[in-house]
Amino acid sequence: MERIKLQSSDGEIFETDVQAAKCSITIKTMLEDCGLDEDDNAVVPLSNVSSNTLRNVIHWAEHHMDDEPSLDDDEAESLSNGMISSWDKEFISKVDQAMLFQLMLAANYLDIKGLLELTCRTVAKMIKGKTSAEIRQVFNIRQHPFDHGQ
Amino acid sequence: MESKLLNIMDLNDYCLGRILKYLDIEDLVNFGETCTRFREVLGEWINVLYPEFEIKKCYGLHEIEWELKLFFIVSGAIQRMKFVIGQPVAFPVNRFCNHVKSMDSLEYFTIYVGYHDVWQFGIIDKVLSALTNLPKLKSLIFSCDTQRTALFIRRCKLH
Repeated sequence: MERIKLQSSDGEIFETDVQAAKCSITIKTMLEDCGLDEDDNAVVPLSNVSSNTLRNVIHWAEHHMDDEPSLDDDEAESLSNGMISSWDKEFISKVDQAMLFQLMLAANYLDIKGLLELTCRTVAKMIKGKTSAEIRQVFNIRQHPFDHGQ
Repeated sequence: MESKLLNIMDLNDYCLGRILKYLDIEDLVNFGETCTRFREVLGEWINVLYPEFEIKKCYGLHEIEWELKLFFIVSGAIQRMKFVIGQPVAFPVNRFCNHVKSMDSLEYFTIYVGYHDVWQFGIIDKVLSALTNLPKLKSLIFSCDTQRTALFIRRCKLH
């Protein structure tokens, strides 16, 4: 299995399968455009992703690297039928709120649809059924409600 | 980004918007009432979430309670809207029309009237006059179910 090295914003280097790395459309495009595909010693710098976050992203990607690639949103939506797999549930239950947001931003930057969907769904579940006051409390939003409230 | 613990406010508008598609209308309203930033994000995404924002005919105000609440939050951002005549007496006509007057993003507006609701020309008239002077309005469709309705409306001298 081909391996690849990824470097986090704080300089840590991680090694993983090329296929796992290609869960990220950003990395996949980078590899193809730069011809890094064949270069065994290439290190891909990811200046927007910290080592803590990258460790989690790679963990997720290594589990999902054999998933059907590049489904569009609607297809993925109907396939997963609104359900989060038990592996994903377990994975996301272990990260705290700050890491959840780190992962969401990383998934957005790296263009990893499945991980973006998982993190967005997770935040949506935290919002569902709550009043605006409760939402402020859950996410520690220090802003006063609108005057007219209700 | 490394040392700082992220808060939901550190998410960009795109990520916040992606969360919205998993929320029901009640949750969207509560989200929009959380803070100014969320209200703005909701406005940016409302036309994706609701390509045509509809206030439907109803027999009790509770049937459109959340649509109305959402409308009052994001009316300024809505681009395409359909309003079906046939509201109960308790419908807040004046508040609704005040919001319509400031729908600065509105491009397409459809009013639908069924034959049994033509007697509500008072509200039709108010909504129509609230629509004058909207900067982006390109299309105003007035639609009826039958020719009889159309004739009746013409007789009522609506413009």
